Amino acid sequence: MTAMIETVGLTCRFGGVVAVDNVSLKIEEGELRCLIGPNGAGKTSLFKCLSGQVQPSGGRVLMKGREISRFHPHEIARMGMAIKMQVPSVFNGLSVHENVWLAAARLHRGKALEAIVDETLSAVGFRSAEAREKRADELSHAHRQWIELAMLAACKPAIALLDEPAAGMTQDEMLRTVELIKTINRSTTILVVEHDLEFISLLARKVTVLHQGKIFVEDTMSNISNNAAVREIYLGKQWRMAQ
Amino acid sequence: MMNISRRNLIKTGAVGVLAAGVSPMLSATSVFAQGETVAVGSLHDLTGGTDVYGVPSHACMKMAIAEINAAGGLLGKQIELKTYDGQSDIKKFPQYAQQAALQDKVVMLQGAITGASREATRPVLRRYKVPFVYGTIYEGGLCETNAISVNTGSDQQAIPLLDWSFKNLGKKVFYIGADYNAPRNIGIWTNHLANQNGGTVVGEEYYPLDVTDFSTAIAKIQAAKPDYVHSCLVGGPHMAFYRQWAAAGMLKKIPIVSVVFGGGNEHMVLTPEETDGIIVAYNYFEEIDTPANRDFLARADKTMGASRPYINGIAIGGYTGPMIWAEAVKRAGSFDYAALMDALKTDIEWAGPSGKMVLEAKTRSTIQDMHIMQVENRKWKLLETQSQVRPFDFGGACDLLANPRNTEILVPKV
Amino acid sequence: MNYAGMNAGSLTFTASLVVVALGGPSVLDTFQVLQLSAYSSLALGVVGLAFVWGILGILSLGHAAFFGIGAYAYAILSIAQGESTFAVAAAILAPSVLAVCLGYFLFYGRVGDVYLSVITLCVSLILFSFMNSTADVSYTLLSVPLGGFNGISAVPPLNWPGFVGDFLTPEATFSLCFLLLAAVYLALQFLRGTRLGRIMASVRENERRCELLGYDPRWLKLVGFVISAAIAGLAGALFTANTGYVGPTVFDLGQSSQFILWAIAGGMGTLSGAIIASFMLQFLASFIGTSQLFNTSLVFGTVIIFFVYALPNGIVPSLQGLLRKLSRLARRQRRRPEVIGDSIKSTP
Repeated sequence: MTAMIETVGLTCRFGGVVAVDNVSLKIEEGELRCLIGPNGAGKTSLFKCLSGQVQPSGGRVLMKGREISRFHPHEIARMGMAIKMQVPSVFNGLSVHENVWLAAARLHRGKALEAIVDETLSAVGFRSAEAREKRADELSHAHRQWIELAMLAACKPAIALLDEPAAGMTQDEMLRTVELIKTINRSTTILVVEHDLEFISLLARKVTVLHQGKIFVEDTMSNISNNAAVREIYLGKQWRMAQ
Repeated sequence: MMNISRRNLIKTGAVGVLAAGVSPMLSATSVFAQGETVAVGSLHDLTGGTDVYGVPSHACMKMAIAEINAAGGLLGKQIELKTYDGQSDIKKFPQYAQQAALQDKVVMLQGAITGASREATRPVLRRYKVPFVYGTIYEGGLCETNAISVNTGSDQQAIPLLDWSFKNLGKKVFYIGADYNAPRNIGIWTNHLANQNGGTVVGEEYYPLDVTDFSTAIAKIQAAKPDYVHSCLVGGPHMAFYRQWAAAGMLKKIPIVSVVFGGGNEHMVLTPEETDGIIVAYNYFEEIDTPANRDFLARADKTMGASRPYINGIAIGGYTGPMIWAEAVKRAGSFDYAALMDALKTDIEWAGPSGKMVLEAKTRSTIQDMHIMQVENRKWKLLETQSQVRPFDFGGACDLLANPRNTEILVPKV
Repeated sequence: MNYAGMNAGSLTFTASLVVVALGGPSVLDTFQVLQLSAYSSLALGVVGLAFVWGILGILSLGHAAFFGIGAYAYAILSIAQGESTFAVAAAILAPSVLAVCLGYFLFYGRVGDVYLSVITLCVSLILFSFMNSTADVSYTLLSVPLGGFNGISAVPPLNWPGFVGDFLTPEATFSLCFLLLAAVYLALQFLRGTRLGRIMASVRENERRCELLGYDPRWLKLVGFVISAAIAGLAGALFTANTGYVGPTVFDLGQSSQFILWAIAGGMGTLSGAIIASFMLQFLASFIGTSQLFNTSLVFGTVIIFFVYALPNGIVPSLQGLLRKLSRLARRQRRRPEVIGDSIKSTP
């Protein structure tokens, strides 16, 4: 079976800095994979390479067996990839409803379109007309994250890349987000970058650790958390505090 | 019933929508043929890039109207001067011309100095039968019954100036000009007059109006070794040529003649070291030493005040225009358009600060004295006067008595 | 609702333009008819810019290039053919073709916003310089001399399609100009409400997000750019037909900045605002040009500063904001606590 997404020796350089260094990663269909690593490990750059926002300097990206290394972002999106960016990237000047409508409108028309928008907005808790007419830039950070997740869900993607979906959230909000992601995962392969280890342990079965642009280790969460080397490079102080 | 009320509703609606915008205009009333005044229009650039030409011309026009009114008006009526600021925006010209003709009912309009504004204004005034008085020096070739040119075409400047130059400076000329209509036209004249005088044009160069670096031009002139340079460089950026020419030490070596230098008072803006010796030809300059001119300048000092602009060969048209038009109106005995056009079928003579001027019936352009003069320490020194220079009729092509329907600008051919 | 293209406001505005178009000639004198026709054609020019800038977020500093090409195309063809129908069609087509070529390089080459503005301005200024240097009699197109700085004069007005020499009266031209303005306004307003229009608005809001949703912003921008160029070309043709003159200054910085000033004054994102502002500022310019009370440049400078400082949102959005505030004030008594994301506990 071909993988949902596969990279072969993927390299991404910015000037003299090698942000992603010869990464070979394979995500199977239906998987929910977590990607962790300290700041500057190359997680966001990897996402940008996968989604076509940055052209790889070397290596290949395959989606469902098809090479997409040189594709434009909109072409990759049309093949079924959706992405939630690290900094919430929504249409700030437009209403909540319009944001989700735009996400769903590429594939749907008419009544089906409105039904999907309604369903998706309800799933992230925007039920009243008043809430849906708010402009995106009037919302809190967490709400904007949800809008972006809703937009992602409304695309009905084959694979979703989530860059720090729980950043800046309260405990309640984070738990709610875990539920949302699990719901999305029912029909979508997910690759998620996070720092919050509680969040990761609630979500992931398999974790990939990225360090200095390279894959450091790939294992289950429990094995990773017991890995002394990982602790050393990344978890360090934060990990001991969580213990 | 239904129909009527609906139409009323539409009308009221339209009035409502328009009221905000047009209300200042609805109050304007026609002044022509009623009351004690007639309206005359001044359409000059009073602001924006070309106001250096518009402001002095307008000031002179105001002075002329004031003098006519002080002398009891024209045909017993006082003249009201309607002023329109063209704002150095060509789009404003046809619009103001329409306003002057249709709303303010002017009996004459003067201005539209730049070639482009003249071309935008002329057809409108022709359509609404408002006499157009053109007061500036220009490229020449205006030949239309409705257009009265009281200043000189480039032919009237170039022929005396270049005839004099070929005789006194030498046979080889280098022509350098701005790249637009008038300088191109004057380039044709330069070639034509070189042929007639047994001279040669050793170089001919045109530069866009915004060029400020003339080092290549100066090198080309030095290589061509002309006896003199004929310059038709125009506007602020082109003044750099004279600076660079003097800096290269050429001012003392090769003389420059021009039919436009001084029109923007370049001889006062630049230093004497950059301009002394440049030779020009105009119908008027303040230094003309005649009783008529001394009297005119004294009156100008009084009406315009001590800070008045220098009246050069362009601005003087603002004064002579209304005066010559007034002579024609007196001849017609009426402000009526047809009567005026009839009166213009014979020559109109008037004596102004620069001497005798004759508005020629055939070309509706003006025969007048031309002065060849030289810059000397920011003042003009007279070299020679050629009396009563006729406007060129393009080998008989411009004859409004025989062909009154011509409106095209005539272009000289070599 | 920012995506509702056709609403009560836009329909009312369209209706007002139609009322002026049909009722104007019976209440206005000839001069007012001529003046308003010219104003309306420039208003049409600014609508295209307001659309491409306000909706798509493309600031074309060289909008005058398309206006000017339309103006020249009309002048040359109507003189060469003595018939205005094809001239108007060419005036729409010619700038559209330029917009396709220029837009292809700008958008598909992913030229940044600032560079795009500068490049469009340069294109316009190059045309300005070029037309200025066509004074020599050898520069002709379809045997019509281009005229250099002096431009092309005595351009014939519009005629009834197919009837050479059967010119529209000033009143008929007036009605036509206002009806076209109404039609273009309505069409653009309609477009804003369609799926395509809403996606175009998303390009302005966040181009990256738009393409990550699977839309191609390059194509959307190109479409909008060409639409605005076509409208500007039509405006140029009507303006030339109204004033009978075209010269290189249609391409100059003043012309482009005038369009931009009107769009700013009207308010970003509103088409009606740009139209209203263009009429108001044209009346103002015309009025102070005849009143001689103040220096024209001084007044205009003051007006620009006023809009930037006092009404940064422009005329129409400021009025809408005022109305909204008033209605909110009235509703305050019966207002319920606001609920967002109502099934989720909000962040404390």
